[in-house]
Amino acid sequence: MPQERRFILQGALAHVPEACQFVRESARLAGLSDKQADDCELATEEWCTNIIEHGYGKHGVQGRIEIVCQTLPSVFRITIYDESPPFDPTTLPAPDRSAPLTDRQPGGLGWFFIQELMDTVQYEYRNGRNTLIMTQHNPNIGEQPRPEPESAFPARTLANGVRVVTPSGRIDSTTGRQFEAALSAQLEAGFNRIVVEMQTVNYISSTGLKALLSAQRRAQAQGGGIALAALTRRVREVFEMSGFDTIFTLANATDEAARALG
Amino acid sequence: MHISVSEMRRVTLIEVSGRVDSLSATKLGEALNEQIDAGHIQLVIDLSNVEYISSAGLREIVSAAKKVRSSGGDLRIASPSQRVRDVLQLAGLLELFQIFPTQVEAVGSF
Repeated sequence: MPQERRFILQGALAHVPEACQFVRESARLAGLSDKQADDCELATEEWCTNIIEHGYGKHGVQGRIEIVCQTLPSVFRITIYDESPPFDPTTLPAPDRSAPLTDRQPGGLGWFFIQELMDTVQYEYRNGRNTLIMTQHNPNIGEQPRPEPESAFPARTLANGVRVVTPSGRIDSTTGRQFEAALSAQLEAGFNRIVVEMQTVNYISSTGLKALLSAQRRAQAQGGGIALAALTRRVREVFEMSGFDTIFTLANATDEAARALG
Repeated sequence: MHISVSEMRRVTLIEVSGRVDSLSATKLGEALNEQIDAGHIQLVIDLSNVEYISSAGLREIVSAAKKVRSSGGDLRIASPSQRVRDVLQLAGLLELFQIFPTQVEAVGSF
């Protein structure tokens, strides 16, 4: 039986702790672990603060924020609505988490946190409202189907012996480790020239970049290399911002990437 | 959130407790700035009683650390809880701060 709890707050920082408390309580009632409830709470604060400071705040109004928590089959879902001007957070640049302190911009972490803390995050502008939908898998309501590493990262071999690996979706701190294991498995199987097809990858975090970097070093030590093909604009930007575009060939197509590996 | 400041011989100790969120972070920033403006640039911030911190709190700590380091000082962290440590890690800040398991060690490190 799906359950729904709803909370409405006036968009002022003073009310955010109540919103956090509400989400935390809802997450615990749904059967999520303490750690998951912590993550939901922090993601809620980050998004509400963003709405209050940048959405409503910039326009000098104190609007309404509505939070709906739903316990659905296999997931706990938090939806946050606000009526400030449309603001698509997916256009925000990722913060550089490897920069030394002197180069760190003090802000800009909130949206990054939300993406890392939650299993899925989706933004829409719907019926005149910014709508953020975030989920955490619910360990108590049936197992979230977790694909085996093999099927999550399908691989094939081209005529010239180059191995092609095709991840999809988000490569974040969780799936990044599986991605690293999948690349490792290919290297251990003797494939040292690998093209990673990125057309269906819509997000990559620093864990994903590290996985690629470590595979690149190993492949190069064996006389091979890793090249990337068909990156979406957003993922390409992450490579450019982090300087990783100088470490990898970023090709438009798989055959072009394979040729770059010789 | 509650903040208490103690001036020691070489170090200013800032003990924080409670929730450091977007509402209270400003107060933490003010407390840190007050010390820096008074010329205190060897700071220890004790987080052992902080039960929750968000990016707004980190923003104040990063900004204070940048200021004291540019004057040759440092801001060091004492005994963060696992939850606070997880948030520092998420922000990629764990490696950028000297973090000590106890207040005594953090103060003694200067």
